[in-house]
Amino acid sequence: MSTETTSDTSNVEGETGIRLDSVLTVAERYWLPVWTGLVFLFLYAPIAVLIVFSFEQGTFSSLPWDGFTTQWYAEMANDTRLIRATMNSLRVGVVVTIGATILGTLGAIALVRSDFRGQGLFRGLIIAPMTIPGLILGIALLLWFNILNINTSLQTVMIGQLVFVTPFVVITVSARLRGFDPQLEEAARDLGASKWQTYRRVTLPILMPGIISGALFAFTLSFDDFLIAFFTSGVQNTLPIYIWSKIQHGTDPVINAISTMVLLFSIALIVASELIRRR
Amino acid sequence: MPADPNKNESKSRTIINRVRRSDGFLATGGPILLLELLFFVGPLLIMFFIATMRMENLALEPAYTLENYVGVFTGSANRLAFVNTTMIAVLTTVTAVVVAYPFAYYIARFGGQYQNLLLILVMIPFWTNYIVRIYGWQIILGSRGVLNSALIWMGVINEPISWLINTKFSIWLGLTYLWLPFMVLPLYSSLEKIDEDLIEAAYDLGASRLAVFRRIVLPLSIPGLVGGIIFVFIFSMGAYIVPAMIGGGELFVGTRIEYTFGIGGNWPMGAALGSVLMLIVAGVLWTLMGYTNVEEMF
Repeated sequence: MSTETTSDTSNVEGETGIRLDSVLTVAERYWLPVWTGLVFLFLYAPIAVLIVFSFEQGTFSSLPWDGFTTQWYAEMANDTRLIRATMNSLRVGVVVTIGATILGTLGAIALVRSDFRGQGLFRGLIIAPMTIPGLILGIALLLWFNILNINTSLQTVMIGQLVFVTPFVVITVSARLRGFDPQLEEAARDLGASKWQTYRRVTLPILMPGIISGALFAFTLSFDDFLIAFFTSGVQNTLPIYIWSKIQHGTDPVINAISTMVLLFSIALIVASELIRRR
Repeated sequence: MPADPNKNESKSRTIINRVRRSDGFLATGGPILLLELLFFVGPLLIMFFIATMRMENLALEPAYTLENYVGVFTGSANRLAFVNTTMIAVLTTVTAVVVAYPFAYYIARFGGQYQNLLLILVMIPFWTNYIVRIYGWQIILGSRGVLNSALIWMGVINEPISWLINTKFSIWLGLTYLWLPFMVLPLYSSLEKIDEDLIEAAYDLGASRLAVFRRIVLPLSIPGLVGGIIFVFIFSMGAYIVPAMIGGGELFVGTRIEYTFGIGGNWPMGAALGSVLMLIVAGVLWTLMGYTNVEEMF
């Protein structure tokens, strides 16, 4: 400690106020990591609170702590409406993921490999749905389905989610696609592979990590979506809508338990996706 | 079919290539194009159109009037909602920049071997359900919540702090919280690309830390900064969950739109509000998109 201080101050010796300087040096050196730590604290505060209070005995999530219990998890497991909403979310998520992965992968190939007039427009159209607030898209889709005389249901939720989820797949896959040499494909073609064989044996395997992580992103986005589902689901609930309606009826520790499960599920998905992407 | 192009002159060859490539485009880019035209462009256009209608007996009547659009600016609740929302969105964006910049810089420059781990730690809140996370804040900030009960228990305060929740403050806090990763990630990807040698060279030439930041780091981080600003500002303008859950009765565009669609039962008015919001969003995108590359942040 003392040696470090002397070595620090030796640099600025001769200038005024060595004491103040060394304080400033310490502050300058440590404010960044301290700031980073505080931001992480901020990011995880609500998550930690939910997990901690899902095991709290009292019905109010407040301090001091009343005691440990797992009764909220037991209550959660017996909630049939919750289970049905979860199943709906999973069903929608699977369909959206399959659809978005196929459309998005094809779209990425178009974005990276084609060279045509209006490419900028195509790119804009791909990016715009990611940046438009879900609220605007939600009400616009509601109006659209109404005009087209389509009854809102889980099917319309799937279509709506596909609109903003697919661009994320395009972005993930096209990043991977940019990183690989088109000459590999040309070489395969030169060696007599058909267009389809080239896709299946060369392009697809190289793209796979991008596609899988895109698919996991797609699933997470669909599973977490509230606004599109809120406006286009009709009478059917998805999990976020169910959580939402439960929160509207007041605080209930079961929500903490449900939230904790949702958190753990999302964390597992994102960690899996990152591991695959960074491979 | 375009046969082998190897003997042809280069001009016809590029034309053939172009035709072949655009053929491929319809097969690959066609489906997503169709999806987005049919269920993205179409709905947005119809929203502008329905805003000119009128709602009578729960049915849309073609009145073709601009009175809903006018009402967005003349109705005091609507106008106040837009003023509040814009103010909070600007404040949120500025806060997000201030909070995220040193954070992203630290991870990009000094993350070292823990860089990937730190990034995943940023991604986890980014990809977990935002209703759930805002509910976490509701528990923290509520009048009988974690923060107040802890402070009372410790004897710091006697009465709960009333401005923690259901105020403009809580909307600002909630939005900053929610969109922070959208600022961190693009900033990180710009900062991470900066060549360490440039910074070293500047120091060697006698530049101060401030000069290095102002002349090298900041200019090179502009694309990430702009990307973050686009996302945070637009998402704050269009927020619904935060004002609805922890914003109390504060007038906000998002909750206003939901109200006109739900209890208000006035779809054209809601469509007009949504259309004006959409124009603001498009304007921001149009102005700022050229300075960034949004694709690179994911």
